[in-house]
Amino acid sequence: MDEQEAVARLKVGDITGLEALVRRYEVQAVRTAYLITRDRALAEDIVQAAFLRAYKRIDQFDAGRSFGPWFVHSVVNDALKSVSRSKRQVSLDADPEGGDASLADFLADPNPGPDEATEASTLRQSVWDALGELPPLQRAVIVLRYYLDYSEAEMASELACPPGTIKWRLHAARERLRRLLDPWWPIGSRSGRG
Amino acid sequence: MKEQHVTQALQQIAELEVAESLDLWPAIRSQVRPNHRPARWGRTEPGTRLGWVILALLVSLAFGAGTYAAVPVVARLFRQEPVLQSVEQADFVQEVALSQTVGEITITLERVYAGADRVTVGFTLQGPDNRRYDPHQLTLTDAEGTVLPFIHGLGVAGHSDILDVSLPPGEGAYVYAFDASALGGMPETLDLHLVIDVEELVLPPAAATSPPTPTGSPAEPPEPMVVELQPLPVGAVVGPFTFDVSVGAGRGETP
Repeated sequence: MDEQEAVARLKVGDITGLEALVRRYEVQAVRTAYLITRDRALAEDIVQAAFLRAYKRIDQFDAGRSFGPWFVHSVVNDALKSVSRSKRQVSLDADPEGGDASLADFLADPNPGPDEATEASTLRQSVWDALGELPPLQRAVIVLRYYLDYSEAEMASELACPPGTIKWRLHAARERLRRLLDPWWPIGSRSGRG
Repeated sequence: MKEQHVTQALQQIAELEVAESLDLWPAIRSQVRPNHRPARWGRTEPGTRLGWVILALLVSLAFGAGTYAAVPVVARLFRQEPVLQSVEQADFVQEVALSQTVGEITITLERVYAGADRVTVGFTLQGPDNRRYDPHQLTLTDAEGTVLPFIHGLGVAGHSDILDVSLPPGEGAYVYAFDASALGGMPETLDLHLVIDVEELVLPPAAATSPPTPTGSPAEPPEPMVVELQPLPVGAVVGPFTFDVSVGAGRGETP
């Protein structure tokens, strides 16, 4: 079942359409929400609530639009609201699952071997730490740009934000990320797309 | 390190924490009834029903002659705020003109004013002719995510003798003020993030169709009426409408 058919089914109250949309977008949505909220359980709650809200409001959804970006937009906004409300930061020692594993365990390579693998795990931890230092909105822009690969134009369109504001916010987030990730990302280097 | 390494790191972090085998469907399915959509959305956060008083009565359906565009109405609403009258004259209000459409509803953020202790936003709402939608929940934050508490709101839909405007069916204009003192001082440029949800009001048949009965002679203009409206039954909630805007702040100090 493709997305258009799923939306069409859902519009007539057929929840198989909702199931198809959930299966298609749940992983990406939870991962996106997790990168912003830094809380796995909260991310799942946000995405579940977003799906249920989409189900309730599907008659107001323009079937001519793509559901995915619209839904991700909703998830990102909910994630930002949650972070603003709670102001919580997940410590690397915090255990969202309630077991013995900590986030640091996930980030660390369980089988440190070649230097490249060790460096990769250290980089992940550094990026995770740096992401946590960003204000929520800058974090969201980084996630949209580098994780979801949104262009600045797409971000401006999805967030109903002037392109200039997106560009400025992304620039500010990048600069802050550079400072936090130095010496991984020495200040003064200008690699990648501008 | 290149930016692509940031991308790879984010992907790895996300994949390590959230597996492909994630299955939310059972939990979602348990909250959904087949072929039946819930009539009311259970809010994930406490509702903040604003209960603001509409200054101008919105009853008249005489939209024949003398209709006004909604944009000037926002400006008129701004002038209802005494503290904004001087800044309006001093040209400190920033015209924005950002629109977003969700379903059949279009919200256009028309103007923003950021002063020393408050931020005021004005927007219009356009919906279907046969339905009435009003702002339900507004959240205004800065770039750091600091929430600016709501102070009060004004709005008009339909005809208003006080403001001397008549809006087409389905249109409304609103001005909301937020407390900016929590920001601890205004930067030169203020990045604002505004999220609006609107809700459908189920108007009683009499209120929806009956204009006020003139009490004077045909030659006398009707007396303007101000009515404090009680909350009406609500229907669907539409949104979120999201706006990000940068405004020059602190130029218009509130008197």
